[in-house]
Amino acid sequence: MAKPAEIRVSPDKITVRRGIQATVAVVGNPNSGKSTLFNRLTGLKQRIGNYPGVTVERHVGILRYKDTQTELVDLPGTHSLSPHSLEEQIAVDVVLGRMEGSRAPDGLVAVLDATNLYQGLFLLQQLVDLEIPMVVAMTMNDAAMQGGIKIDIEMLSAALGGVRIYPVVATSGAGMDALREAIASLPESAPTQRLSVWPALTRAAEQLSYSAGKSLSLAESERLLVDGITERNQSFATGLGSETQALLHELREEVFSGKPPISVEAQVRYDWVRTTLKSVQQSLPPFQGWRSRITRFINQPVAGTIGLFLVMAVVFQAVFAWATPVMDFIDAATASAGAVVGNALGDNAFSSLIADGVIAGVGSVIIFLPQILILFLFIILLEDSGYLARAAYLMDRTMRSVGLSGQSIIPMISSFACAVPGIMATRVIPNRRDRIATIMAAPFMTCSARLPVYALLIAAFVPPDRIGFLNLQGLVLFGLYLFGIVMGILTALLMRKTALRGPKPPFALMLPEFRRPNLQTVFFQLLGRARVFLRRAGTVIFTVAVVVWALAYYPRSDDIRPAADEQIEIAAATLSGEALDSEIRTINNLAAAAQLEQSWLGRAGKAVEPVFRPLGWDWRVSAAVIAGFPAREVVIAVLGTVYAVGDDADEATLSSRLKSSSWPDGSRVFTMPMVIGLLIFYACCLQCAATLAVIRRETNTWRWPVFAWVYMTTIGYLGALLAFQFGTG
Amino acid sequence: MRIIIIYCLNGTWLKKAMEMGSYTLATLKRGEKGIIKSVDTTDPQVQRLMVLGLVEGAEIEHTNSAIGGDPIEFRLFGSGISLRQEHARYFQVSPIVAGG
Repeated sequence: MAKPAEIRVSPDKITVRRGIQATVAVVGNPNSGKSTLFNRLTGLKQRIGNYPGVTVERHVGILRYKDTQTELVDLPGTHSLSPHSLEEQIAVDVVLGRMEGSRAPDGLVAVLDATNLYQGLFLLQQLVDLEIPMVVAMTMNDAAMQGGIKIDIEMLSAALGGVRIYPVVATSGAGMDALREAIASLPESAPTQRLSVWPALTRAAEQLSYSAGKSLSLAESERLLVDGITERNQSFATGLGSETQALLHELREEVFSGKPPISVEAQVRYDWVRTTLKSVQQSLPPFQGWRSRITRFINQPVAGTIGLFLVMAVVFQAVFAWATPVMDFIDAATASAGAVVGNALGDNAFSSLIADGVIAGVGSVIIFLPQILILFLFIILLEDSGYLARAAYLMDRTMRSVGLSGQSIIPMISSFACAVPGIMATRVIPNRRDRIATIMAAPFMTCSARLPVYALLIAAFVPPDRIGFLNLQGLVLFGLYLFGIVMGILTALLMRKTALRGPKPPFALMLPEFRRPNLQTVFFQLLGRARVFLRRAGTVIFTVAVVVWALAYYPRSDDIRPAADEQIEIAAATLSGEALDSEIRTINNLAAAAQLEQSWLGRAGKAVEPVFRPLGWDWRVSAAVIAGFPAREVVIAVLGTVYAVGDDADEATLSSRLKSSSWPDGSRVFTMPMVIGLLIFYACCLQCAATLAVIRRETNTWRWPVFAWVYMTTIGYLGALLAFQFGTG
Repeated sequence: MRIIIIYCLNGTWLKKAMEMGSYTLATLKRGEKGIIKSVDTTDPQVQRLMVLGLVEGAEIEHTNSAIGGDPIEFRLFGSGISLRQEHARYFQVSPIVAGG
């Protein structure tokens, strides 16, 4: 019955892919220290891609040992070979060699968390039964020791049919060399020996495999018996003949007698795990260190919740405040680089393209990096220390009441600084529906780019009256924040009731003990996030920036510049010194305004004026709003140009111009109802190409960003319309 | 105040469970241990929880809960796992008396 150990890799399979000899998959439970180990094994040589058609990231690295190069694939964590989520599905498909466009791995590195052998051994049994060459890397040995867990590795190895187990400490690198050697020689190693944990299933699998001929291995038969034919493995299962399918049905009935197969498997395998653990694991009195003290403290419901709010406050503060100086610096550097290049190249289209298009475009991409890096530094630290799971657990009930789940809390809070890192942070939410609902709600949070627009309009049009001890301006700003939160929550509720309706996911979070994050892993993950943002979202943001530049620059008018030069000459004849400089500035600003008026952007503003007319907007406001769609913060610069006060005018100058701006009949454009409408429009509207690009990247389809844009723009428009029409009466 | 709320919550669960003549994971009090006796697998979501190790014969301890008593944190073979009240009710337990 036991098959002779065969060497899986035939010489023709050893493809020459830049010297890579074999592919080995790293598989294990979530939070088992898998990524830390992977980073240790591969170092900086990593590539992050996507699995075909899904948003799950594919991490690939190269392990070098002496003269061999092995390709390592870091799979998403899974608890079992019967997948439950998309991530688990990917991991299982790769392990079983079902993944589209890639062959079965030549070997497996199973990661076993020494502090959680119970769940680890469940998966390990299933992996051993696949009869693929495999080594086990046992992580968290130091933590297990401190927790009073003593493991007899030889006995455990024997219980698993002699599979080799390598205890490692990923933080210090202890045991890594032996593991590297074992992985490098994995493709030539003998496959694992099947454990006879569940004879009834094995017997049925033998029958099925025999009936299907050579096309179905014993391991595949076992998985098929447990999973049945589902929509996930259909493409593979329909290749079987109808006779085999009938047999499959019959055998499943026989083995499981009507009970849910997954629960039967769980029962059988965990019974084995419990028995095995009794002989291989000893519990000693745990070491009472700072770790357990921290864990005990954050475990208390009230203290834990207060602690969570403190942590949140620090994260929010950091993303909001720490990033600002760096962002100001990037802003200033971009502006001065643009000015230097502009001066060097003279006044022509190419110069403007480089200065206002390319340099400003690059600036508009890297301006997001400080916030992204700071937020992700915190998220990675919180995740690696095990705190993120606890935050989700503490907030679950509250977030559930608004249609989201506990894991949504960090993306939502982060979105107050910027929706881009906030949406990127939704990847901690395992349930797809919850994740998309969070993504749709996040852009409603008042981000730091909305703040300058709010500040300008509030300072110009809301009187600084006091209501009791409250300032009316501050109250309006607070109201806008609150409005964003309410809109976000309503959106999430609406989405969960309609497009994202579905069963509540079973909420079972593993709550790991507090542990010290590994700085190398933190660094690698941070680098990965930055790279992904620059490559995927950066290209879209950059393109949009250049397009907006072109819209505002072309077509050039032949008359404006000479006319302005003529005026300057006339002025120079009569004025001098300060007065002349001021006159030249005014003339230049007027020329820029005239140029913008007849550019595509200005024409577009005039063309859409009828659309925005019911909101009380003239063409100037309309043009500024259109220019602001790719990035709402440019609105102020465009308003500055269009009102001929210069694109870097100070707030007071601009707001006095806004106040005096009037319709041809002399009535004011910026009336109170119109301003309130404009604020509502800004609070709702998704004027941010970066957010759209990130939604596209995180949902892997254009459907969601397009929906979000249309939805939010419609709400903004209707809100502004109501405010203006009712206000004007 | 909190203690009173949790006490009331647990009290009602306890009462409900007594009427039904059974203990579930939701009726275990903080600090109490139990062994899972049977699992109601009619809800497909419960199968997922079984894959995480919540199976017959597993020893489990209620260690904590979030504010309001939901979700509940349990200790299962040395690892923390949290469940919502609604799911905890699918697992019948027999309590282990402290010290026993």
